[in-house]
Amino acid sequence: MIAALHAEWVKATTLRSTWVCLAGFAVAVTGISAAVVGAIGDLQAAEPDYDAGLLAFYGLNFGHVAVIVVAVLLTAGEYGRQTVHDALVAVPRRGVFLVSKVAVGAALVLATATVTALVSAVVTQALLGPAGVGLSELARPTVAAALYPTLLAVLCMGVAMVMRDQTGALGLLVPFFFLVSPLARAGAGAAAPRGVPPRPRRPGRRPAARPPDRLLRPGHRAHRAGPVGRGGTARRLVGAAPQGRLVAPISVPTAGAHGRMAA
Amino acid sequence: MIGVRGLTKRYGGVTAVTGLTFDVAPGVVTAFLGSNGAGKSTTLRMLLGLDRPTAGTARINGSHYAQLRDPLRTVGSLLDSSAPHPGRTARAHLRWLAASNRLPGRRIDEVLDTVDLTAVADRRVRGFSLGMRQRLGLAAALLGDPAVLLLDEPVNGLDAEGIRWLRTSLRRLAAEGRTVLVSSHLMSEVEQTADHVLVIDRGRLLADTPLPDFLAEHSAPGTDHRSLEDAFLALTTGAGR
Repeated sequence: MIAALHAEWVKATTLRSTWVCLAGFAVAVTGISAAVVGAIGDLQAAEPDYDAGLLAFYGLNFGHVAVIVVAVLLTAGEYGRQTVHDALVAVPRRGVFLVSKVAVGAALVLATATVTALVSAVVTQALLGPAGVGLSELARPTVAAALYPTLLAVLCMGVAMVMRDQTGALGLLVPFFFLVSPLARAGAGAAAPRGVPPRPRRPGRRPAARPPDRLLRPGHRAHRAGPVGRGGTARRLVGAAPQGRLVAPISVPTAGAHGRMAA
Repeated sequence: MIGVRGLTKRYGGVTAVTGLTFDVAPGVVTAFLGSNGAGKSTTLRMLLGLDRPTAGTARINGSHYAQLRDPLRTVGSLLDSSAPHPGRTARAHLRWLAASNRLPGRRIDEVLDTVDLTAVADRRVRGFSLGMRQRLGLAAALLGDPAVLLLDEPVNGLDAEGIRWLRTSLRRLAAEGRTVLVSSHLMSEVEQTADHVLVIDRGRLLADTPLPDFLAEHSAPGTDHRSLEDAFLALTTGAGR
């Protein structure tokens, strides 16, 4: 098992694509988060229900594509050619082979995402100046921002191993996580019928699922908040509804609680 | 020592090999002859545990391949020279193979030197010619200093120098007491290298004899010498009988 892990480590780290994807993830997450916070962070922080964890890791919404790509390249990339024959001849026990591969992929993503989450948290709160919150207050969203890409990588490696096809796996996973999944979540929130009490955003909080017409009314808070504000289009697209918690990086549980305290 | 007993493989309704029984002895070069699609690669894949036999067994030193501990130390194989990932360097390809079977790092330099790839060891496989890939595949097969070698069409893509090198290497490896099974459809090359032939056609074993006996048996009456090609075609098509 240790030999198989070592082999998978050498395989993953001797491909340039692995490093390009991991670096792309780190740059996208910290860069976009810092840019968004720099542009509208002070306005957002003045909102009564400002969510510090949402804004600090905003770049995850884009950076996670790099995680999907590296997960697919590490797994399905081996099936596309006959490379997997070499791998199975060297490590004939299938279980050992697959577990080693997933463990190494997850470890690489976890290490990258942990550093990225910490840097994002520090940089964004520094940009906010006095409106920024301390790292201790961002602890849970930071941990979540490190774990979410890791779990996403494990899921994508699993799907790619089943599909055994690089193009097919990317074609399925990227649209799913970029478009279908957030839209479905936004749709689920917006589609709550009138008369039925909408589900609360978080336990004990007021309902989040507003009818779409209220969002579009001029002068509504959503407009003033800009595209990433509460109920803003981007916020809705990236998923703020409670059912999105398991997969949405930005609706980190309790992140709002810290944010409220800071605001 | 390779032992195959009643080996049969069907893919859906198509029978790839049926009822193969043979042994491959150490110390000699055994050629595995057959036309394209005769079942050579299928047989080698089952020996390596990449395909599950429908019936029968394929064992190496009495064990199934998957039961071997650090299998590269026992069996070296070359199945498909296009297998190494194009984005990896030749050295990195051998490095992960060595790591997977706890082989010492010095073996990487040794086999690179053996196949004459040292100069390009740190270049990506993407830029390799077919012959260079073939040499890399042979380096991978030799990495674990194995007692059994299974090579599928190793001559493909090699230049004249490479072919001569392969021929002398195979003879030397066999002389060292290793079991060497080489599949090929290049009769003239086999004729210069092999001691023993296994002939397979449409999934069935037609011959399992020393090369001189095979040539004698399938020679036309009145001729002293016949090429292996003539003998092979005579056996597989029946045209020369």
